[in-house]
Amino acid sequence: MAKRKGSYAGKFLRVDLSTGKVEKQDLDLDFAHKYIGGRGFGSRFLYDEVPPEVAPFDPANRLIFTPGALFGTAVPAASRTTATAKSPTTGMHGDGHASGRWGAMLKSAGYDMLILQGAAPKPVYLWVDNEKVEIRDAGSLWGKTTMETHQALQESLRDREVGTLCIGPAGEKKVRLASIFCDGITGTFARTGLGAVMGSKNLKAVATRGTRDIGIADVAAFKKAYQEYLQVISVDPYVPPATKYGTCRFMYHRVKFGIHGAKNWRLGDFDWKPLDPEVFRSDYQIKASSCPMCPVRCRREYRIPAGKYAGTVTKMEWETIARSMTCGVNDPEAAIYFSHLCNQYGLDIEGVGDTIAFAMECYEKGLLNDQDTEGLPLPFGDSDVFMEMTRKIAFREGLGDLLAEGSLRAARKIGKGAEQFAMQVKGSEMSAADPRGMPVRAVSYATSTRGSDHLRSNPYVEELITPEEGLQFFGSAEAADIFHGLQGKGRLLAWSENLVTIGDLLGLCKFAYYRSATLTYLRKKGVELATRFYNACNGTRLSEEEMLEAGERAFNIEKAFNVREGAGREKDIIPERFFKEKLVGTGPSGGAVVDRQKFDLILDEYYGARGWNEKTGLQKKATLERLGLKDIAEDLARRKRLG
Amino acid sequence: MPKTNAGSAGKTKGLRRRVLYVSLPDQADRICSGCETCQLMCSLQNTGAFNPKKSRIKVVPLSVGITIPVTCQQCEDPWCQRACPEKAIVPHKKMNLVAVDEKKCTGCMACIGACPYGIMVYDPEKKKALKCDLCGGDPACVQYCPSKVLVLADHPRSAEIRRQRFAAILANEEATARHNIAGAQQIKILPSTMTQLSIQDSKQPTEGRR
Amino acid sequence: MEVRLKLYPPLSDAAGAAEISLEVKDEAMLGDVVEALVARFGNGMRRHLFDTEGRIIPSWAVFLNQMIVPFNQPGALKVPVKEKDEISFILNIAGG
Repeated sequence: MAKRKGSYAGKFLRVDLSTGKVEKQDLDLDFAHKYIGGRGFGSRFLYDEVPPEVAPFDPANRLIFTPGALFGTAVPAASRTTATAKSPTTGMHGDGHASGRWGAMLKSAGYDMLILQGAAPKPVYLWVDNEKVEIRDAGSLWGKTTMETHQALQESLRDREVGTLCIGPAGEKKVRLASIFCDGITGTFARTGLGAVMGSKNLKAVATRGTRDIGIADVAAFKKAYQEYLQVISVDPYVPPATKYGTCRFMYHRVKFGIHGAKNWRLGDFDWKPLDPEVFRSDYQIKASSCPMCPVRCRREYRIPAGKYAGTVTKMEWETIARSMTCGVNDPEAAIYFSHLCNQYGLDIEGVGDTIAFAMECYEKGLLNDQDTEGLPLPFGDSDVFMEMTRKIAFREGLGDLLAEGSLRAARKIGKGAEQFAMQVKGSEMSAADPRGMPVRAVSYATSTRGSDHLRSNPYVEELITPEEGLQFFGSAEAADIFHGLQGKGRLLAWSENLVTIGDLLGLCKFAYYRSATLTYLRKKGVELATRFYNACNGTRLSEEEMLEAGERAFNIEKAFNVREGAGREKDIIPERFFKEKLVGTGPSGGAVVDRQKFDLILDEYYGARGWNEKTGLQKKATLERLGLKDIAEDLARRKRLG
Repeated sequence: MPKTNAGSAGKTKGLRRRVLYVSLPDQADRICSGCETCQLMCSLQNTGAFNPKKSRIKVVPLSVGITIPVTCQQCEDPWCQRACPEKAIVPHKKMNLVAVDEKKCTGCMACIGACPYGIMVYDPEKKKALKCDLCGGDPACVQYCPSKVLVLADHPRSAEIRRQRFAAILANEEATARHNIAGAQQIKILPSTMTQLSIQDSKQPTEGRR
Repeated sequence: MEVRLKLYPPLSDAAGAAEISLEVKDEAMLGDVVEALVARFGNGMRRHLFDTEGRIIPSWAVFLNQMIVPFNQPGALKVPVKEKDEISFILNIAGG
């Protein structure tokens, strides 16, 4: 029986920016149904095409864009695209996922993947117009902000529906904390320095127009799954706060648990009241927005009507508020403006926030003096300094040139023990909340394949399961105990990582599918309906186990990439501060550290659950073969990197 | 008043209806969220595939955070019908509106140029004009809008109601002209219909606002 | 006896207020507080505290004064409450 193309576009597009060569290749449906899409495609091609000999800024590094398999269909909240490259911050696997319409445009133009290699001799942009692919001069765009670039492209191409990707000035200057932005400031491939890779290729933007249909195999099955999805989110208590506050909603939990991580991850308590979600909602938000196809409406754009930053209109999400607190700043307008600057300059808010906090602590402790900072004091809580340092990083000015390298590299340059203040994992700055007092939370930051990433590891499953479910799914009732549980946590983490990877294969938003108030709702959305949507769109018959396995497969490819770069168990670690210093605060985690013994025990169980060597964390041949990755097993065996 | 096909159809088939965007400004989630689900469900209903270029309803982004869905106003004396040189825009057999007869349409785009609302769509593959026909009476966009801001409304016969609607549109435009944004990015912002924003405006100091 | 509740969304929306007082029997437990909350505010409240199978939703974390009582732990609903106790209901969904 002939396989149907379903919702796939049907081709890969490869562009060599050094030679100008454009290649198109048919999509193999066996490949598609095995790797699914999004992260599955990107990670596989990165492994195959970027060996350890290639450095992140070498022309031979790849920059790969892969819309999620369901992007372009009306599957709810299926609107995310993956970007993959070897990362200039971690030196290992790097990727990002963004909202925005560009990914659907690429599919409508006829391509499920865009692979960029080489480097242009001078600034260019890529124009993809259905089957027409051109490399064009970007001299007039170089230096523009993200929004300026997006608007200039739409104007010059005379089409306001054209989708774009671009870098801002930060990416042009190969700031390691630079991001790639989608459709102006609609979405961002924020982390792992992807913007710097794009800048190293002299690629300012990709503009795309597509007019082709995206097919669907079984409309009735799609509509049925759609109704069931709407039904689940209508009863899940997770959803109303998301619609009401957007991602600002995470504040209340942070407050009660006392895990702000303020002032460079030292304080659990903080004067958070000026940043109350109610303040953003009533004084600044324009409306409850959606990413494409999403019924949850948790996206937010804000406008500052008066004061120092009057007229600022920008998109802002939770991590901006969190990183502002990391720098001791609690002015809501400063937070919005910080988001505005990072959005326009093309910077990773998490990376920049943590790196400025690092600099502030170095200044506080005398490791940076007024000469290093050109006379600019760097106290925590000073929002003017916060903005000025952001600008300096974007343009590599003064101290900004050092900080543009990220907190780890900057710390190594500064020396004098500065590394202990660089809050990073594998070279990528910390995200989300403080892990002290919550054992598996700590491990989850260490095991993500792209550095600290709560979205990849999703330990929050421990919060919503009952002890019975802990026993049933993870072998121990303890898995449901956030503060004291040990048994079952490693298995929970492994399962949870595979679960959310499904979202990245299909292009599903994690807030719409992978956060929930109960395990039943979570599995219904994230496993069952996700699989049914894929099958309805593509005429396939993947089981839920096969879909979870596809998630496990992509994760293992990334792990193999990192292992091949030399990373083993020693890199699955979190900053020393969390082990050594007690969290200062009054919440349940107040006074806690991350217990090293518990950390290691959970990590042992996690490696075991993954089928990796428990001591070294290296993958076992049998595991890779079970996942259909025999060629990767052979490659690692040749390099003596099997577990 | 000139004779048209549409006018005579109106008498026999009851009230004209159209899909309208209705927001409730005091409810932040009863405003178009910009999700564009309407576009994809429209193309799915009409073509069996997903393609926003073939959607008869279009979500128009006016600015960051301002998105307005627009579609055919089912005019009683349609400009598109008058402009068509092939008489390809004809009364619908069952409903009180006009529709494009694909067999007669030559893709000349006269109707697209004529429509004052800019809602005639050009199918890039078939190279013909497309127009909303209310999905036979149960519009897919209305059914699937997650924010429930699309309604199937009766075309008001009352001139007074239509006058008010038009005045409200002009009021929004006037408010736009009064906004002056400081800062490096000269992004024009139109106020949404949110009452919140107009309350904000009245609280602002007059200096630095022009 | 009276206990004071601090509610966060979506419970605060169901109650129409972020802080309320509830009357419960003397020697009440957290489970009785939940029942009283649902009895007072009806289905709009119930749907956020109980899943479609009628089970208590595990991801509520209740702070009894300053002590955390996650609802997914055994015996959570049997924890006793005293007169004038402050009970906060926070949805235990962390994230970023």
